[in-house]
Amino acid sequence: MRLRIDGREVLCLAGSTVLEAARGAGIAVPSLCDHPGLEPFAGCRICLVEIEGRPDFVPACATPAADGLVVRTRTPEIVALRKRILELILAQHPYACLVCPEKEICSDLKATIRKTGEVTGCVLCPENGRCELQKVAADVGVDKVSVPAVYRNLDVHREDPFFDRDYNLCILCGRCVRVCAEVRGAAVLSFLHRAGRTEVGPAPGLSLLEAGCRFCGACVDVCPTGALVERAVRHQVRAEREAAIVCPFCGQGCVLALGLHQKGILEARPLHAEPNLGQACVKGRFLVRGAVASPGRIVEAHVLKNGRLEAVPIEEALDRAAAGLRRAAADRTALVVPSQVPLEDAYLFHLFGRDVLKAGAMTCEPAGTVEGALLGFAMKHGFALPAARRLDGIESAGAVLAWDIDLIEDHPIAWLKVVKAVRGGAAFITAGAAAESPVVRAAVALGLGSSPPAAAARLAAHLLVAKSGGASEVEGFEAFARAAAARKTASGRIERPFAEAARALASAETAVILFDAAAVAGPDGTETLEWLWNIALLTGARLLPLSRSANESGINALGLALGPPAERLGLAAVWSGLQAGDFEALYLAGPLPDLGRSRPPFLVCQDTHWGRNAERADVVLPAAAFAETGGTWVNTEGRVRTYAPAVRAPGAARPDGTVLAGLAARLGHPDFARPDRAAILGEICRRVAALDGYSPDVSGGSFFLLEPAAPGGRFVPVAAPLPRRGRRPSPKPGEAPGRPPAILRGFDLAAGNRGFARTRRSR
Amino acid sequence: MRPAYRTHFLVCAGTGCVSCGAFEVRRALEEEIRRRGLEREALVVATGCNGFCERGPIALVQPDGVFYQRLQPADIPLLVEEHLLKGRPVRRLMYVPPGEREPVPRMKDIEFFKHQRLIVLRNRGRIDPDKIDEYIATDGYAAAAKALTEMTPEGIIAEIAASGLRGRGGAGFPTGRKWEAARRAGGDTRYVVCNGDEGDPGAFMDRSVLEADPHAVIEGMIIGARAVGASRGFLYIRNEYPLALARAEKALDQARRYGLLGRDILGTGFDLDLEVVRGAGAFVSGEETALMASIEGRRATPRPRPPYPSERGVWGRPTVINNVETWANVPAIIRRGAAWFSALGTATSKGTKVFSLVGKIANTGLVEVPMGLPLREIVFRIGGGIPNGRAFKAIQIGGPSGGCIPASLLDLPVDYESLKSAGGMMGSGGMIVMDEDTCMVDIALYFLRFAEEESCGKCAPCRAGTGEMARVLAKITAGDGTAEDLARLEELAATVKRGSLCGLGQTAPNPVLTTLRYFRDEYEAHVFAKRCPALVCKALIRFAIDPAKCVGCLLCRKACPVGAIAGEIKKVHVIDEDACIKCGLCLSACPARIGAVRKTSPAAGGAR
Repeated sequence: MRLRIDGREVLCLAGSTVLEAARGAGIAVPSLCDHPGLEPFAGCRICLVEIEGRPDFVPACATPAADGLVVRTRTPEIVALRKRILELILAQHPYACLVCPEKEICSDLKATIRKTGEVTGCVLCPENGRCELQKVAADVGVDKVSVPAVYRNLDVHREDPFFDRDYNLCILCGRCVRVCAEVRGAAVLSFLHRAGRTEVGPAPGLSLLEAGCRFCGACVDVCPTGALVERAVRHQVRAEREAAIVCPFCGQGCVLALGLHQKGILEARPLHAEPNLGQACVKGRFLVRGAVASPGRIVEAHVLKNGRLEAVPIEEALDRAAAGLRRAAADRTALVVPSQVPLEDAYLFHLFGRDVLKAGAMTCEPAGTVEGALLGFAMKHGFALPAARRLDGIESAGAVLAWDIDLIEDHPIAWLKVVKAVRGGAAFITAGAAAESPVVRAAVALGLGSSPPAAAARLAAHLLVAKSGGASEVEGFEAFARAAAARKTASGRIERPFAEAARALASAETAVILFDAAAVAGPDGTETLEWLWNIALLTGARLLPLSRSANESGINALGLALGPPAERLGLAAVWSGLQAGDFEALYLAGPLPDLGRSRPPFLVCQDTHWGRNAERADVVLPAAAFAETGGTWVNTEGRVRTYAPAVRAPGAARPDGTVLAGLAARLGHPDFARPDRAAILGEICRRVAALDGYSPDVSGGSFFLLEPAAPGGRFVPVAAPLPRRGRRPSPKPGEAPGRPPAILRGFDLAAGNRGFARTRRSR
Repeated sequence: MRPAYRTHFLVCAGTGCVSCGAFEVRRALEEEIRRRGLEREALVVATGCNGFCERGPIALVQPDGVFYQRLQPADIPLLVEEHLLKGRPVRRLMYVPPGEREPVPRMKDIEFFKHQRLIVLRNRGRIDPDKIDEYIATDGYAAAAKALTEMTPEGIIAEIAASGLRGRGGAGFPTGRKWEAARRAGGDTRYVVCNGDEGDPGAFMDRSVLEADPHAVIEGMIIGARAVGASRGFLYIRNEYPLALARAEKALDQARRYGLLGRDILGTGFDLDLEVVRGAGAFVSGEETALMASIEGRRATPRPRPPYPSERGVWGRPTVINNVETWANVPAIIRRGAAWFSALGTATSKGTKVFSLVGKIANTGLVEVPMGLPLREIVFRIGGGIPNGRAFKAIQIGGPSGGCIPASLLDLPVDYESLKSAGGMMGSGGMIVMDEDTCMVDIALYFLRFAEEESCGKCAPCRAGTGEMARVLAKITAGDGTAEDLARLEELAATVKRGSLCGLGQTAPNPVLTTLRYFRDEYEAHVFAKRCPALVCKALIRFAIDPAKCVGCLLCRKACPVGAIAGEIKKVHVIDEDACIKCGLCLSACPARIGAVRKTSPAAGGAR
């Protein structure tokens, strides 16, 4: 589209606003309430412009660009109007910092005792220096405010975890309200009251916690003033530099910017990069600093002496560990590998178990994984599920089926795309324990009853009715149709939702089925996956498995490429082996429930944080945490990203690979050590075919480890499951996928962070 | 079969008359008629508002056309005996024009009714609004039948466009064009909405129409829905109008039962259902985009236009929003033709307009007059002029968004363009008459406070600007104003007018701008001479006792609530000005024939 702005010919894409067109052409138009990714609000009135032929000034942020528009952004009248409007906005916002004659030298004098500022709002304002209002005031040219200031004297809300809300600094731009509803699908925030008493916040009388806030921090990130600020940084100095990391807390692989200063990590903010595009969740936004700088960190090596763990130099601990491991028989040694480590360390763990320990059992699964289930399916049926793993495309689906998956908590970025899809009119169908929100409600909620495969079969039966004859030419259809038809469709209270869900799925042009380990890694998992696959084939829906643990898919690919090290046992097998006393030694680097009496004769614990098992170990080896090691991470989509260490590891903690090299040398493998971490990555890329050509310089946005398998496949034979009587069998420890662990290796996030514990309790 | 009654008593059951006891009067009438065994000869009917609320409770006796007013249950036995039995109309209960002695017996001879032209209010005082049969008996739903069976949607729109009907909610957008835009907009779901969120202080046109003739609105909406292709609609009615809500609900039920709403209306295959939505209790809910948000269940705040509701309305679908009065005009236009309608009014403003006439006026009430009638006619002929011998000062038209028109513009014809050029606006049709005892600065402050209070808080100029304007005005009425304040007021008014998001903010400065334009001398008197010419602003007036007239009767001393008056019997009393709270009780306590207490607003020393 072609329009004229301030006398210049400007080109822009169809669908953009006048504001976007102007900014795209380098014409600065100040604005406050506008924010990329949010719908236009047109409340601040700072971006008013003149359009030829229109009697009134129009907000550039909410006016669609059109061919032939003649726009003027800087007529004297508009410039004066903007100034006066901003003055009115500032009348309700402490503005001393904007008009202070000493503002130029202020930053040098920040050490002033912060007491006077409570009313004037200058030195105390936590956003001073990066406040958008300051920038806009400078752009608009406000250097005095002729309207008398009104300090609203509202109580600062300090009752919620993680951040304070000081609405005395709020300018009512509504960004927080919109991001909460439009992007996060939560709608916890709203405008309250009206006129001069207008405020934003949760329902009156409720704290955010009580109102159902998940503390994703999106409102804090879009706030242009100091009204919403993370409590931990409220009274801190500014970050001196930033470093990007990949969040290790779930499989989504959000890119975060760590704000750093001498003392370490100050804060973590989501970066505007794939896949998270400026969004995060409570874990990434607020728990990184506490996890890395936790008082529970293991900072020194320890060995058991006279019944007590004593801090010793790392060499002594390594000697002790080597001696103990040498004494145990190799086939009666088990290794539990963490999945929340970068590929480099995971690779060395793998080699260590296979070549050095020659361990009889090795596992890296915190619990059953979706990768394992997919592999099992491929082995059973002879073809890999053509599951495209990328999250892109969910937002344009016409129907979304969330099968027993808590997207909000466990897959927050996938959830954001579901929010987009549902706001765009997609039907949202949930099954089992799938989460929904007040704005993104399930159109149909399917109960799974005592047998999830039976429920899937019931859905398939209704789908056959709704989509009669579809896909009948595909191999295996007859058998599948027979099995599904064995579950007779009927009407009635139980059947109705299934019929509705089937209609929604069948009528959608594109549908996507989301599931994770909770659905497919349990005892019924394979059967459920088979039904889901057949349903996907029947409806043309896309099957989208989501991995729950950081680097799960990367480590899985690594394991496949390197071949099974020894007999690859699941965690459940290791656990029962331990209880049966099958093992003489356990090298524990990943999470495991409290061993208690099943502690084997010799226990080495290599971890970042103290836990029950570490406290009982013979040898404790301190490991560096994610932000300290850097390294290569693969998210659920197969997106690969490498980052450099952001902070130094505390005390004697070293990257896992370094610790393993020291131990391997003592166990007769002096060549185990690699010259540096780049060399390890090079070695991985040579051995894992899918990583061929990856280099850390390639941005994670473009390199995918998991490319979708070719579409196609056939219906797989399924039994016609009858609903079981009674309750679903309760899972054994270590076996059930259950709810995913809110853990970082051995560190329980909920136990380590009071705020996070409160958010979990509130649900 | 119903007997053929000799006489109908049409008792007004509008909110005004009801609040004066119309239901008691009706009960008394019915009882009296039964007591005298006249049930088969006289029928009592409760009708909608007649508009002459000043004189309630009122009753019209047909077929004689005799108009009774200010009825009390005690009057009823006499009325029945004299009028019904003896055929002698009761002169005592008839209307006597102000300043005259002879009553005017017939409704059609009363000045208040004589000059009105009823289209929207055609059924007022004639039918029982709770009975759809009575509406149908007066040609009701004939227009809907014509539109559905004889006309194409394009034909309906062409007829409405040709009639020149413009939106009666304030802005005056041509209704035909609005419908045309909605019809052309894509998609197959469309909505029609009736805006009954009348929030202007002192305005009650929409309430009256909904109470007196709800079926006219429903019929208009059926025709509109047919024209634009809507199958669902909403009547958004203020929650503060319980009677209007109840009548609308009842009328919808009846229309559904008669097959005039629902599936396959009149066998034409056209489906439409309407439902009532209760207003959210804010002035801004009447703004069309805010109203749509409210229907959707969201907070009633406006959004920028375009897109207009006719492109993207309720739930993003094309929506036609018209106000109550506009919808009520539609059946008459369809039934009698565009030419008939456009013969009334001026070149650009066709038809009639309903106004609520309130304030310092003899005949408070609701009037419907042809467009283009001069203001003077409305105020002095229909409204009966200013009571108590006071002089006309200004008329405020269009509620808080409108402006104050001075006496010099009394010959202004009432149409959209003339009012706009005078700085006011048609608004929904509120007219507040002010006499010389009204301070224009104080009035501007009153309307500004209303706008400030009702601002939704979304956009900065309206939220903060109206409050700031009110602050400056309050400063002026307190006698603390300066010359800069006047300039500041004008600057703020321009900021709010040009900067605000919706009509509420854009028009909120109008009362200030028009009073500054026509009554600047009054502002200047407050600012420079520190006096309030109308003797209203408390900070600028004082009370004094004229020693030459005071007879020392102690009445004012006893009345003073703060003991600010000193004096003994038969001795001249004195007001202690420091203690005086300017409540004015002494003034009313002093007997009129003495008139010793005087309210003045002297110029401050060194006044310009």
